[in-house]
Amino acid sequence: MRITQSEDGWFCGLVDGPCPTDQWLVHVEDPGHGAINTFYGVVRNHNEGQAAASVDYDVHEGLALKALAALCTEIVASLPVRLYVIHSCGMVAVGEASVVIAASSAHRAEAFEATRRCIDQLKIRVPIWKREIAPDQSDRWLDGHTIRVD
Amino acid sequence: MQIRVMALGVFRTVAAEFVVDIRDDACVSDVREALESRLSVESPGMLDTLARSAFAQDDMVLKDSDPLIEVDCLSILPPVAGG
Repeated sequence: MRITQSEDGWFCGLVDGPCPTDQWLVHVEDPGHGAINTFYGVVRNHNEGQAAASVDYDVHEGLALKALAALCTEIVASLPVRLYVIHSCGMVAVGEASVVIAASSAHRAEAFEATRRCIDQLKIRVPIWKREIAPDQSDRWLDGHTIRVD
Repeated sequence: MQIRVMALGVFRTVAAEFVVDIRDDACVSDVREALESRLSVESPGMLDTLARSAFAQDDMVLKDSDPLIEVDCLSILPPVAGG
């Protein structure tokens, strides 16, 4: 896993293949936090009316880690949370996690908000692209959000 | 000068990389125009995606007005779709 983390309370990373779902707790547990919220983005077996078997994630790793770190920094600066986010690179099959987010806070509202903000912003800011592969092995690249800065 | 543009996402369906010839005092918009010319012949269906794509040098997303000084390689970043 390629990671970036901060003493401010966030951890982000990229992993080859499906995301492990058993590694987030150590990064968000805090004796002063009474709420932990998690979000797993999981590859589903259909999209826009077409069957899917897997997704191949293409990632600009340097930019993606930089964008994830910036996103975590913003969230932790605006909400009293600890935050963990990892995303897959490469092939992820139906039922496997491609993104895992965990947020902890003293009370539940901030953990919910941090998790939602993280996945919503990740989808429109982080340079990751999906090549969806059908059961017959045909494939297509999915459209997304521009990150042009001008 | 020549600049290599590494393909990412859907641009991989066209080429692994593009090599464009541009003038020595070029900026990012010149690379975009060079790619427009090439794609309009080879893959016109990609022109809309190109218009919504960004360019990056290493880990920095560039503006079209940014000059390309001592730059020999860029990445093209089509609209993103993580998650």
